Amino acid sequence: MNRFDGVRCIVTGAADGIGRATALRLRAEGARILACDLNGAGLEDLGAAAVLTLDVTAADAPDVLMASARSELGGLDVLVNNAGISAGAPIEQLSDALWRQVLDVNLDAVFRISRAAIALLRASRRGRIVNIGSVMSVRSAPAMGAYTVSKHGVAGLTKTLALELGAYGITANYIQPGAIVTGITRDLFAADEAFRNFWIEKAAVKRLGQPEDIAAAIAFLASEDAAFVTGHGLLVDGGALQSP
Amino acid sequence: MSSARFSGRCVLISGGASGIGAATARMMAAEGARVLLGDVDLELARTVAGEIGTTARALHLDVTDEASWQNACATALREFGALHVLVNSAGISVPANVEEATLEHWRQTMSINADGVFLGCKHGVRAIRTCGGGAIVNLASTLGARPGSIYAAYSASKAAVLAVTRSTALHCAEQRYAIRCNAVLPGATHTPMVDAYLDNAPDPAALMAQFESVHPLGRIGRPEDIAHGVLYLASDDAAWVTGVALPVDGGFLAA
Repeated sequence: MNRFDGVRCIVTGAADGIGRATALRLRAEGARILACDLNGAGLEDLGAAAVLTLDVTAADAPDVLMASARSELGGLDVLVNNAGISAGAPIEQLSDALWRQVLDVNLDAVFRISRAAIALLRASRRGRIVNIGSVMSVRSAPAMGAYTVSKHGVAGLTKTLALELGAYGITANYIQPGAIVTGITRDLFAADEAFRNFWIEKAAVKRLGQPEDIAAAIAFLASEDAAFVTGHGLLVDGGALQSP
Repeated sequence: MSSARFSGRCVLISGGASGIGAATARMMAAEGARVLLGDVDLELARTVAGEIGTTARALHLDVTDEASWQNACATALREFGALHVLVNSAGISVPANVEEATLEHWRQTMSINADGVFLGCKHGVRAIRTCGGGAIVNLASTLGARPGSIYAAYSASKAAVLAVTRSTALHCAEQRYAIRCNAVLPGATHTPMVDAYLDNAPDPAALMAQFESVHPLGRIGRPEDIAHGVLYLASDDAAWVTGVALPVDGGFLAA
């Protein structure tokens, strides 16, 4: 028995990192995937039912995605809003342009795509929204202002979606990953041993997270197993937030 | 892929004879686990174990008694040859506000819900680490994070469970035991405990309507809803998850 047999899923930012691991995990459990990314070439080996080269911040991105879900998947059961960027500077040096860019990708796109997906999710008998927050959904760090605000925003947005959509049997949750080796961070961790060791030490279980760690949590929240879990931010951080 | 996550795993469940503990036992056994059901109600634990089949055993476990825990862990090691997963599900709840609650009521609640989980973690860690590691899942409550006026002792005991969960998670990580420790926070769930609230209420239908209204999904939980969360945290899917509190509450804490 596969938990996701026939289940129709959108995964944004699926070419690399957490998105790629999630698409592969859900597909391995039987899901039909509509995968999108700016880097369309990176989607070709996912075994997805359909792929889209897409900038999630484009004005028509939500409509394009939902039209594709209708035509390629025949509807939608699970929306994984994974696409995100990490860029930062101390507030005093943070430009309007960088602030706008981080919020456009990490928050506005999640809002706009979630809003567009509601009609399709209502028609599903097991609608799920899984967003990607961060440990920065509850904490912050110097030079992480825009990212922190965007991920706090994801937390608030997801809780509101949970309250508004619960009556339709749709759940909305977000993951709070800790330091994960992804497309965003791979080069940073490789280049800077002190940085890598800092984050390994911070995790109670003393290792960096892998995209598969997050994909397993997304699969749980997207599955019928989590039918009674909604509005929650699930920490998958190796215990980093519990450390003193 | 998810059908045998507990193949070869040996599991001890306190409060395994009913409610969330029994649902967890059934579902873990269905995914390949051998389950030892500990409960003060040995007859009921035997009945549930009998329904599960040859992969289940029952034993008397009084979670407030340290010797009883030592016996349970030793029994798991002797009968199964190992212990990989401990689920601390035993608990009681008798509603009483801070003015009504007697010291005896407070001490009894803390004894079962808080002492019981502390002793379980203490002896569970010792047994699990000799077997190469595993996971502990504690049943706390949404009331541990957001206390209710008529559950003074219960809320306090469940807040203690959350703290014990975190300190156990950090200790095991520091010691490199490869034991993760997490908590599930159920909302109101159809168990003998909550059914007793309803039976004793002046207007059970009104109380049920009130329970339903505070859970955004519009219903109270089923033991299986909660057990799904327990199984996730106990499985390798949660290999990088430790020290967390997972609400399985129909959105209660988001509201």
